[in-house]
Amino acid sequence: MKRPASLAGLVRALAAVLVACGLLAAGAGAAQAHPAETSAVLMTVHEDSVDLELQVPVRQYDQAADAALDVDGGDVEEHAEELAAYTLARLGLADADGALDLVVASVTEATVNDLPTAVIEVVATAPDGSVDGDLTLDYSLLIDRIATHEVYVSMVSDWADGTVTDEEPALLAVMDWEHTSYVVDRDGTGWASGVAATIRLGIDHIAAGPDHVLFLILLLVPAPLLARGRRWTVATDDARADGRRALRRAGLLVSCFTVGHTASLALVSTGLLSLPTVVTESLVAGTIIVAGVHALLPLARRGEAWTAGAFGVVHGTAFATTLVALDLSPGALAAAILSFNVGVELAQLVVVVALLPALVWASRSTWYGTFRWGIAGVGVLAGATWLAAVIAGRDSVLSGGVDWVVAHPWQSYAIALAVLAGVAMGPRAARRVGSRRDADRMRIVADAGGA
Amino acid sequence: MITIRPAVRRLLASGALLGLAATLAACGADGAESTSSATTSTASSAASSAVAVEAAAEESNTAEVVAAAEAFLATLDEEQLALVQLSYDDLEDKANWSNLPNGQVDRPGLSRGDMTDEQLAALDALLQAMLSDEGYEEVVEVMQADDVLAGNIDTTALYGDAAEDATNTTDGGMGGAPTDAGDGATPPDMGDGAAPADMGDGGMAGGGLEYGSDIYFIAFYGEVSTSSAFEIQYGGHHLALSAAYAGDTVTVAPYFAGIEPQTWTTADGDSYEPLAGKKAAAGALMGSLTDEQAAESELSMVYNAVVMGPGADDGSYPDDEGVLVSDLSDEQQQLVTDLIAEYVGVLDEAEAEEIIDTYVAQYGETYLSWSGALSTDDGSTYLRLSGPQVWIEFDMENGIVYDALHIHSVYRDKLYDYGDATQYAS
Repeated sequence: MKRPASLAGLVRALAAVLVACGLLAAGAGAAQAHPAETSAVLMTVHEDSVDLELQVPVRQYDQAADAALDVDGGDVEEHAEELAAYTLARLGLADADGALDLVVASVTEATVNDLPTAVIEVVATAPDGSVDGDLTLDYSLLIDRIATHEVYVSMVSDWADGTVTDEEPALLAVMDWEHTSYVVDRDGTGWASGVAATIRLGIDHIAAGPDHVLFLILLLVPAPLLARGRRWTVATDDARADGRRALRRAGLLVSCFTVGHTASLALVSTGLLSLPTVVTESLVAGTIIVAGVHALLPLARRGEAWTAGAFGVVHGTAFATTLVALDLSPGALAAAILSFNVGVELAQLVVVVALLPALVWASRSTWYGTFRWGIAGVGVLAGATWLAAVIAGRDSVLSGGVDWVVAHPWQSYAIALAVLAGVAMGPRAARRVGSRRDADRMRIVADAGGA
Repeated sequence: MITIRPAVRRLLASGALLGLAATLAACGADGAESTSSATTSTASSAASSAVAVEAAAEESNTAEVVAAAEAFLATLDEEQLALVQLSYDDLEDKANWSNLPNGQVDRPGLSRGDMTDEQLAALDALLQAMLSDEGYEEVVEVMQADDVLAGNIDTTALYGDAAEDATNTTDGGMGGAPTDAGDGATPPDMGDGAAPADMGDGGMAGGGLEYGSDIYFIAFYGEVSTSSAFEIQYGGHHLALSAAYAGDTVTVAPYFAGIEPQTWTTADGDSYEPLAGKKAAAGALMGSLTDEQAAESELSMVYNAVVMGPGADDGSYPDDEGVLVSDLSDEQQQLVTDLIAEYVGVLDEAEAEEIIDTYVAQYGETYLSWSGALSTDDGSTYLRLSGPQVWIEFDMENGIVYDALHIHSVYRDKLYDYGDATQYAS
């Protein structure tokens, strides 16, 4: 039998995939904020236009423009025209084909860094209908007068350049009176860059999202078992058959989950459906509790697939908040939804491949019941504390442990395998025990432990 | 406040005494070998006392500082020594000072909080050996302002206004004075990139803001010696002192002095205003400018912060702008000298006097300029003095912790920053 060897090979292949995911995840940009009393420029690049959000501290503007806007608030909107004219006289954006047409879309007041700030939204449209090549930003608001003022320029998203992230916008440059022109290097290849970046974002989303991984694990744990009445039992004495069944079942569950979250992702991303974050997160926490209970005692024997689909819908609304923030054009959004899902599926596949063989093997031990109860308990507890935290608007009491797991995927995986190896050492649950299979099991455990 | 004239008088007097004592000591030594020459020697010492004064002006407190530094170093264990004894060529750490609290910018060296009482006493003796009485007092009080920020000191008033609510306990250093301040110092509306909630309690945690007199650091660059070059760096939030010694040559640039809150009154009824002298000197100079001089000296751009603050060590300074100090009246020139003395005078008198004389001699190439406003009661006020060597920026800033003005100021020497500005020439 080649099975043990192939399983070991699988584990090794899996390790390679996980390494690849780790490398991809490491590419994520770092969070950037701008200090008090400085300005910020947030750029969002679309196919035919660029949105520029300027955050200008009112007190500094007064000094630079010899204006007297009331820093206690309310004056910014009243002086919107003055601010718009001041802005357009000191702002320029050009692509490889020349200057873009600038229009001030709105002038509003906000509190940034606890300071009254004028938020000026500018839309720069490419006359030829396409933003191409490097972008040159000419900016001299405030810094034409204030030698000590700084302007923090960040990129929110640039699909065609492969800049899509759910982190804070990446800082591009800090401009000042000596640096009033900045060139945004754009070496992206258009859609291919956008698709690749969004796939990576989908992978990151699972890799950094313990809620989804936990949910998935809770679905996988009973996958090798059969629901008999109100209890989970070992399916057959044939591990191979059990493995195939588990794989089919996991495949079905993951597929239904995918269909569900693709649907809701599309609905929310296109603005057809909108749920408050607290509702979305509460629902996701709820699905984890339900999945935990299901791992204890089968809840929906026939409706498992439907349940997974419904849970997918809930989780999809959570994914969508990430994509909505990218503010993409309809075409790019459709591609982004697809590629984001591809990324999510790839990452889920890694989790399935990483855990299912070990789960199948360990499921044949009588100790697996205890293990299943433990995992299910952890799931219910985590879901409940998370739900409480979401409702209370605070960090979950378990967030420290969860953060550790996210920060140490390899150690966590090794611990999981070690636990499963330990479980597999337990007495057999099945009646008929073949000596050959027994030997195989020992070898597999050794392989898994050494992975 | 440091005034020149009394300092000069003291200098002349002490110089004469030193000269006399030195000569007498020499006589005594001679006398042991040859008593016959004793009378002539004594006679010549009286005749040459004028020359001796000149010589004394060249002398420095380097030996005194070296002795105090060695005494301090002797109190440290090996681990502490490893922290404080850095290489003279460690330009990165030398330049690692800031107007931001530790936590945002972590200083090199050993902090007061990690010293025993004995070590602290030796450190304070060293600072006293390095600095003038006024300079030492300023350093101590700027550190105390940090204790006010941290809520470690009970205050009854801030910025001259009663602040009953500001009275707080020192229990666990979690008084939270900043958020409990009175009218003149209402709770912070602004943060320097960090929420005010980060202060008072938990200030030590997770890279948050850290305030307090125990978060001041000392570091030595190069072997402490009366002959070769070394630097003593001392500072924390709102204070950065770079005292460099090379034999008898002593400098104290860059020196950053800032303060928030500007004034406070403790529960014991004592009032403090550590930078009162600097503020008064800057205010007097700005107030003395005629309309014509003000127009001539206004900078072409606006400055809301010091330009040559932390990290500005590549030797490039803004182009000269403003009015030549030599074109000011004698009284105004004296006010310029008073301002310079406020910074250089942090050093012992003898060292300060020599440096000040050098700067005064350069008034024909030294420019005074300003932007924003000419009043220490205006947050836009910025004053600059720029000569061939001297560089002083005095900036009134909006509050960070309190909703009231605070001060940032920096003194540099374009040739003698860190003892020798060319160290940083790339």
